[in-house]
Amino acid sequence: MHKQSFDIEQRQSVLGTFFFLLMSVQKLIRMFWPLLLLYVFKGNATKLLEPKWMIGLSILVLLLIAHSILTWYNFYFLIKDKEFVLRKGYLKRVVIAIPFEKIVSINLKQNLVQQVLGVVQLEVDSAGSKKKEVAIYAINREIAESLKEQLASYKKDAIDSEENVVDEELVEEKETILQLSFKDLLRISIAKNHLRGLLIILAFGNNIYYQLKDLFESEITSAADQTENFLEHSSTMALFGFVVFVLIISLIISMAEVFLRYHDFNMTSFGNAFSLQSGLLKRKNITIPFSKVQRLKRSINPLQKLLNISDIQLVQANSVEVSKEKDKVSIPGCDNQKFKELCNKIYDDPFTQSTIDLKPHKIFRYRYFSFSCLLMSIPIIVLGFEFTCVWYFEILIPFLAAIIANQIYKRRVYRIGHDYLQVQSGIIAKDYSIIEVYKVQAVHIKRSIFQRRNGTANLVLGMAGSAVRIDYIRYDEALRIKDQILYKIEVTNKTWM
Amino acid sequence: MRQEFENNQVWISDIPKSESIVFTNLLPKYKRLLNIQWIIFFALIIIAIVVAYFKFDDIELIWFGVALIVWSVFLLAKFSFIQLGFPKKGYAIRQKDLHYRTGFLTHKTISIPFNRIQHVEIRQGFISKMLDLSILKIYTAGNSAYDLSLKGISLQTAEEIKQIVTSKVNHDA
Repeated sequence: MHKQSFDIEQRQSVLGTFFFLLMSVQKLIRMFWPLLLLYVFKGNATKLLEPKWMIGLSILVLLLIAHSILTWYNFYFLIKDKEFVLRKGYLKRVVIAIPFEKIVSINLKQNLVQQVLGVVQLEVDSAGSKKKEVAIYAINREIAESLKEQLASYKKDAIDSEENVVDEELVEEKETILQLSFKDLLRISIAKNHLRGLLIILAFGNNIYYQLKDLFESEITSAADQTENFLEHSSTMALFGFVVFVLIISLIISMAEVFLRYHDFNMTSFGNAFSLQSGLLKRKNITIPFSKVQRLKRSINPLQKLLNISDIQLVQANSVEVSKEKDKVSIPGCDNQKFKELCNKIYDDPFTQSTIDLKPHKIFRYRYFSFSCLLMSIPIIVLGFEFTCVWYFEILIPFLAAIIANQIYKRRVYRIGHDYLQVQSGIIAKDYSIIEVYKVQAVHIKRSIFQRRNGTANLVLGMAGSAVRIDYIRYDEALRIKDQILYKIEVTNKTWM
Repeated sequence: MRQEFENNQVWISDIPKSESIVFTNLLPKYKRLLNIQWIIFFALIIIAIVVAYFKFDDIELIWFGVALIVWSVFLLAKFSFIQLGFPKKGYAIRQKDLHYRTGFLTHKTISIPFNRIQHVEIRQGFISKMLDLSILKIYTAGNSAYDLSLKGISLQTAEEIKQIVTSKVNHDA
């Protein structure tokens, strides 16, 4: 690949104008689709052909085109003084400069439109304090690759000179870590949490129902009547059929989700970074240097345990609390061995170190018992006003709460080692996460009025991108762990990202 | 394994202890600021309640009474918390980290090592400017919910702390 120079300001590919145009059209449609639907169904579509509407529409189209061209024309990017600079906007001018050492990751992406146009989106995530996400939306793949390489290489230079990292693995040899076949994807989707799919159905169903309600009021009422009638007269067999139907639907949704996201999933490691590619319609390409991993999470639900797979999540450095899935990179379908392999790649021998294992204080169990009692009682009491018989279920609640509290207590283990801290938790699924102690950003100790009485405390470790909670340990232990962590942070001169 | 564990113990007792940190109390002026702020807040709410009662005829007297009682309970609780909790608030600066302690019902202590601070910011509101108070906001790369705002110090102290922090941060970088 020839080396491209980015010293001079340059614009995106001309195709970018089409991209911006299509995106703004999409945005408009997304905003106004119920209105459009209304027009089409109410038979008012012909109204759009009237001159008044035609003029309005054509002005809108012209505005959109002008907007796209101006957006494209005023969008520049360059590399200057070890900074990646973006200049954009025609009404409001924005200049964004990201120093290389603040770059967390560089991702190439393609959505459907970009795939058709043959351009690539390049995203740069920074660890700045403000949420400024930087993306170039439409450039040729070659340019994107070369830009990505330059950004990444500059970064490596900086790290190398600062730290003198001795890395035997710096030989640029790609090593496949995980590849998911069709069968793997099938297993992953079967073991998915189907509750989520169910919720999606409900949310979608509800949404669509309300959108269509105005249009087909009478049809819907009659259909609802029929369903009600059907439910009243149906046997348990039909009910069972209904449950199976819902299950199958949620399974299909999970499968669609999994196949869209993880189609042709390919994870390799080269040097000291991972590279991930996946996705069916939207091909994602993510690079994560090992050092940027702030936390490794693993979760195994009972179904996954049966199939010997687990979900792994790598939390990357980002100042904004990670709500977007983007900064949490999921690696589905890892078995035990793969998990160990991954941990050993990112961390330096994490499992052989001796640790002090702590359990939460016994009070923890009572706390969760009362908490879940309360939480579960609320829907029952509310429902009870409608159907009195529901109130009888309240008897079951203490038993259920006891089981849950016990389970949470049993699962919760804190492993505190010299360099690593591991937390095990979960109710139904088994959750696990491991962090490197020196990557902690802030240490909090919280003691409620009750905790002061029984000598316990909550320790919260603020990390970049997430927080690790160590609940209900003895106060003196919390202080000791805090001192140790602070000491560890202050003596280390390794950069945390 | 066991042997190494014993080593850990020695190492732990050797490092600086949290118990030895001496916290500096916040300026008493800050309590005044808090009082003023909350008086304004509660005054606005009582005005809203009274206006709502006289404006809409269909609100019964009993609900007006309930609102008043709830209002006064919250008012009493808030102001007693401010008075009682104030002595508990404080900050401490060691050579390599900064600590802030706050909270009345739930005691909270936040510790941030200097080499994890991203940047520092000094803020002054309208009332706090009149009282010569300022807020020192300390940003880490951790999530924003856990950023630290050091309230109730004078502008001069804030500048001084900022000086210390930035010099340490730059020194480490």
